Amino acid sequence: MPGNLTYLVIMGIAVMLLMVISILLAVIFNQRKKNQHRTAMEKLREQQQNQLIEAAVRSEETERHRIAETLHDEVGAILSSAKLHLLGIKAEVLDERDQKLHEKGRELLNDVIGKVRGISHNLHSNILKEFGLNEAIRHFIRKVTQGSIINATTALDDNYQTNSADNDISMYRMVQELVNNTLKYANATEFLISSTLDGNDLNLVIFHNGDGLTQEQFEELRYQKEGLGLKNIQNRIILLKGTIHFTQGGEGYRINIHVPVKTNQS
Amino acid sequence: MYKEITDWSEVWALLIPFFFLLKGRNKAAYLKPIRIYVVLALIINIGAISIQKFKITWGFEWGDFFYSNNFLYNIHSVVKLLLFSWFFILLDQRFMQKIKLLIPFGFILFVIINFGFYENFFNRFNLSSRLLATEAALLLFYCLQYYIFLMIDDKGTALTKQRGFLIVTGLTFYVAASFFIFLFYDYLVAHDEAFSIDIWDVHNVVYIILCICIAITLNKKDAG
Repeated sequence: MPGNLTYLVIMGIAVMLLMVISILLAVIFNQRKKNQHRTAMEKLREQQQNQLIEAAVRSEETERHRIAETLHDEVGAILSSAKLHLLGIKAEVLDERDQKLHEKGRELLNDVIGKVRGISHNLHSNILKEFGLNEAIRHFIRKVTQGSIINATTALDDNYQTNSADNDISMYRMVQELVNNTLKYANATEFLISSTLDGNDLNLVIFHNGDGLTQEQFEELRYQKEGLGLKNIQNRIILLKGTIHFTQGGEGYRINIHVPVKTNQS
Repeated sequence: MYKEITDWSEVWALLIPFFFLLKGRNKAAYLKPIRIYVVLALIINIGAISIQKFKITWGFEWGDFFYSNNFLYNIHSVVKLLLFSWFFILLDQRFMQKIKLLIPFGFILFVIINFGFYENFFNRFNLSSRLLATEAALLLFYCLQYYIFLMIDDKGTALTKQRGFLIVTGLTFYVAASFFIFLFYDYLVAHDEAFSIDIWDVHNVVYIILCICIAITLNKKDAG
């Protein structure tokens, strides 16, 4: 009997330990399965969020194009026609007062036509599509800083050539928004936009000697209704799977945008 | 020398968590029963091993009361079950809550009835297999319900971040391995003393594992 009991005790301990190990393995595998499921759900949620952002950005772009075309083709055509009619008036038969009014009307009409064309070009991304991101940024910077006290320079890496027009539009819109914000709020006098292509990473830097948002302020404002521009920037950053950082250093204020890109070479 | 080390293992193993308890890195409220257990078990085990050593090795006789250390093992068993029950209740897993609350009261009732009518709490010659095996079975139940809760819980928190996971794992190994030792210990002592001494070493090894698990948990910085 003691021999049997010895065997029973050893077997009992062995069986109990095996049972414990089995339960532990079951718990570990169960937990791993739950983690995989959770990761898959998070990925799916992220995908859905990205699809929503993409749809929002695309529809915004489509709407911009529609407005640009309406302005250019309809409003612009009507204004040009109005100008033609105005020019058709024989100014020499008018008295001096009416001549002045005619001249003023012509000036204002020219102004409006120029402005409408400017807005239309701004909303439409023709230059971007035809000449690429770098040329579009250069053109935009020239246009917005013309006649202002800001000394603006661009140093863009011309090695960057891409077929992905959609991504370029998003980057261009971000630059537009950030530059417009800088001109409005930063009180800067020196302004530099530079880019470097590092393999499949494009690094855009907007640098100026004025003031700007801190990273914390950006994180806070991008979720507020008033910060629509910042929200758009954030959406486009998510869409491009990139990053954006705001830093205020001793030498000036810097916005670093990092975006993974597909170049023509890759 | 080896014999001395294994004989005193129930004391020095507890010094490991006791050291980390003194360091006081983890002051989480749910570990309060464990901290109390480490201190009480250390005192009880020092008493138990000292009695055994003084009596058997050095031949001292301390009168009737200290003739055997069995009553200290009984006290240790009751203390262990009550404090670990408290620990499992404090883990606040919303699973089998009423049963978890009833077990300590049921166990106290069992102890009163068992030692009131059937066994002598101060038995000089035998450990109470019935008490120790019941305690091991109840603790095993606590451990199993802990793991079942982890499996049905939707949160999917990493196991290493689960409150008390390491302590419960150490305890599971301890009670699973000790259950049959406790259950048949009286019989083994009577019929195969050499094997009963050898098999107690298995109990000591799993007890050391439990103490190390407690020590690691007490050394973890309190995450709330």
